This record gives sequence, structure tokens and C-alpha cells, in this order.
Amino acid sequence: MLGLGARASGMDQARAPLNVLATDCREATARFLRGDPTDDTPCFEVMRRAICERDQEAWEFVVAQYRPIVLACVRQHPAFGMAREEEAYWVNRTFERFWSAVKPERFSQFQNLPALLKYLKLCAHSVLLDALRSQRANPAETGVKAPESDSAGPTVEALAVGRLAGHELWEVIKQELPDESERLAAYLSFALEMKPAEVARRHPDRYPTVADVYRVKRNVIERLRRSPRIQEFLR
Amino acid sequence: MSCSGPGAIAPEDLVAFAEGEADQAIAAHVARCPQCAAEARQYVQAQGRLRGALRRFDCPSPHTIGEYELGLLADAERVRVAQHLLECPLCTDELRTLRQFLATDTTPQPSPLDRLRRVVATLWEPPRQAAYAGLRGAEDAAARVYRAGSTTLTISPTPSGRRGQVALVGLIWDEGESTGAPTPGEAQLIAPTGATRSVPIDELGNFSFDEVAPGVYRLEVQRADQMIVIEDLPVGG
Repeated sequence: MLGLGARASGMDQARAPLNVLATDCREATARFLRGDPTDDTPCFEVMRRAICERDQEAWEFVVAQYRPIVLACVRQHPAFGMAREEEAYWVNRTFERFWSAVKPERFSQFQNLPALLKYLKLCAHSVLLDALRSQRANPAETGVKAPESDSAGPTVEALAVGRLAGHELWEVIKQELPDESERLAAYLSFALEMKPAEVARRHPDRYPTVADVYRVKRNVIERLRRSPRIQEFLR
Repeated sequence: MSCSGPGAIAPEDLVAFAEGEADQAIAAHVARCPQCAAEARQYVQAQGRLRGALRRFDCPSPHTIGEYELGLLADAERVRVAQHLLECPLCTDELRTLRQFLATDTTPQPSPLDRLRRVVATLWEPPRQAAYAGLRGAEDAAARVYRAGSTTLTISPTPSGRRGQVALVGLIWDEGESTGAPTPGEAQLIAPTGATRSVPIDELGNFSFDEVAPGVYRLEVQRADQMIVIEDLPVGG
């Protein structure tokens, strides 16, 4: 029987008790932080159990073990300074995102521990960027601050609902704008918030000058303002 | 109500004004023409509402852009995101931010404990006829001697005041030390339950744990830049 602190060999790691793997993983992480050579396999096995077997104990170890790394990521992200929640909130959101995104059937996409930790870092990035997008979505001209619940970061569901509503509106707009140049100008101006000069620069074949963009945009706005369906949608 | 100066500006000039890009002549006309000012306000409002409803509706989420960057998307989705990135400066900007972030070394600084070099000690079975007089506990059959490189660690159980328990007396020294006396440190005894006890190591290398219940423990002895670990230390029984 493996005793307290006994090391699991590479061959029997899949059968090793979690506490043994956890000890090995802690030591491997300490060696890594010191810059010493290390073996990732105990940590990778703990991750595998947490993700593929949905082992709650293994997951709790993963969160405890990599919390400092995620905290460092959050602190160093450029969007963190603009976020309205404290770092612990973003650390928790990062692990939530990782747990929901890395399903057992996806685990084979990650060949080693560095790949998993890179994905964990991506999760830190994406939860912060989601919140930043949500904050920036509040139109400046209304002078309305985002309500506190939004400033904490939108849920995945809220983001999906917002995009769905936008998709529906866009389908209606496409029916009102049969001209391709008008559709493109509407998409670039309203969906991507592109300035007319940028629109002209990117599509000189359609809009040789910025004045052409102004002309097309005027037609678009006039047509959409007169459309009862658009007005109903925006009410 | 009609324009105060028909022909002074073109209809699309009001769009330029709404964008904040009109020249002085247009701005001056709008300032004195109520009809044109009202129309410009309507363009601003309409554009604001359309932007509010459509803003980035077609943009992939930051997470999807991240999976695109890591090569984790299915082919069809990868192509869709790649095509979108050609057109969307907002998503391109986010991708740039992600790349810089992923390239940044966010490894946390090791804690003082992490910086210690961990060495697992092995039980040493001395030859029977070896004269190791002076080795504390050598004459005691229950004493255990461990080696970790040039460091020797002896653990000797002694009777404790409490029935059923023992006291552990330890001595650590390094052959590399010129005086044979190691620097002070700390010893930790970790029970199978995870309960931990810590005692100081004096400048002569002595330490002791009182009233230790029988069991198999983990002993960690920290001295200078090294932590020596005895993984399965049997006590009593």
C-alpha cells in the first residue's frame, strides 16, 4: 500500500491515490517555480481525474494548486485595472469558465500540463474581456452607467441573448436594405462601430470617398427610420 | 419647417456632422438652422439606437477568439472566425491583446518555502560492526538513521510522560559543515490526518517532539536552503 507521501511511478499513476498524486504535484510545482527540472505527469493526472472523471476532490485540489497562478494572470491582465470587481471574483470566474469549457470529451485536445495551463490563462482573459465588452456596450451619449450587476461581468447566457437579439434585428435590416453597399455600410457602421473614413479606406471599390459613405449612410438611416418593423424592434 | 438656407449643405453633410466630422461651414449652418439641427439630432439618435442594438452582434466571443488562437476550433468555425477577423478591427484588437497576454510570463514568484531544495532522505542501515559511537541513539535499537546526501538525520523514540505515546528526539548534522554544527532551522511532523506540529532546531542540530501518538508520519526538516523529507516515519506500535 502506498504510504503517506510515497511517490507514484509513471506506470501506476492512473491507480495512485489522489493524496499521493497531490503530494507529487505540489513538489513538482515547487521545483518548477524554483526553475529546477520537473515532471508534469502527476499534475496532469490530477487534472485528468478532475475533468474526465469529474472527481470533485481532484477538482478542489486543482483549484487550490493553481489559484496563485490564476491570481497572477488576473493581476497582469490589461483589463483588470478597468474591472470593477476584486481579483478573487475573477479568479473564481476563471475556474468556473475552465470547468464549463473543458468537458471530458475535449480532454484529448490537451496533450500536457502546459497546454491545460495555457487554456486556464485563456479563461482568465476571456472572463475579463467579456466584462470589458459589456461595460463598453453602454452608449456614452446616454450617460448611463452600467448597473452593478452588469459591471460584475455578464453571464454567458446574457451574452448569448444579446447576440441573438442582434442577429434577429440584423435579419430584419437585411430585408429592408436590398442594396449590398447599403448593407455593408450598415454592418460596418452599426455592428462594428467603424467611422466613415475607415469604411472608405477598407472598401474603396464601393466607396471611393468618405462622402460616398456619408451618402449611403444617410440613405440607410432614412430607410430604417421609416420602417415600422425596425421601429418596433427598437422600441 | 424647412431649411433656413436651402442648398447651403448637402443632405449627407448632416451625417458627417452627426459623426463629428463636419467642416466649419457645415457646423455653422447647423448651428443657425433649426431644421438641419433637428435632422442631425435624429441621425445621432437613430445611429445610437441601432449601434446599441447591433453592437458586435456578429463578433465571436473573446473565448472563441482565444480558442481560435490556440487551434482548438473545428474547421468550419475556424474559417468563420478567420474571415471575421479580416473585417473587424475590434476583434483584431482583442486578438492582439490576447497574444500579448499569453506571451507574458505570469508565473508567480516562488514562496520562501517553494525556494527550498527538497530532498527525500532514505533510511540508512549501518553495517553491524561499524563503530559509530557518538551517534546519538546508536545503542538504541529503535533509533532510525536517515541519509540525504551529506546530511545525516537520526530519530530516536524515548518514553513520554503520557501513556501510549512517545517523544521523538532528533539530531541533524551535515558532514560538509566545518564545525559539524548545522544552522538553526525548523522541523515539522505531519500526521496522517494532515495535522502538523512544528518545533525549532537548535544550533547544534537538536530537536524534539513530545507526546507523539503511534502512527506513520511525514517529517520535514528545514535548514538553510534545504528541506529534508522523511516520507514514512513509523512511531510506536
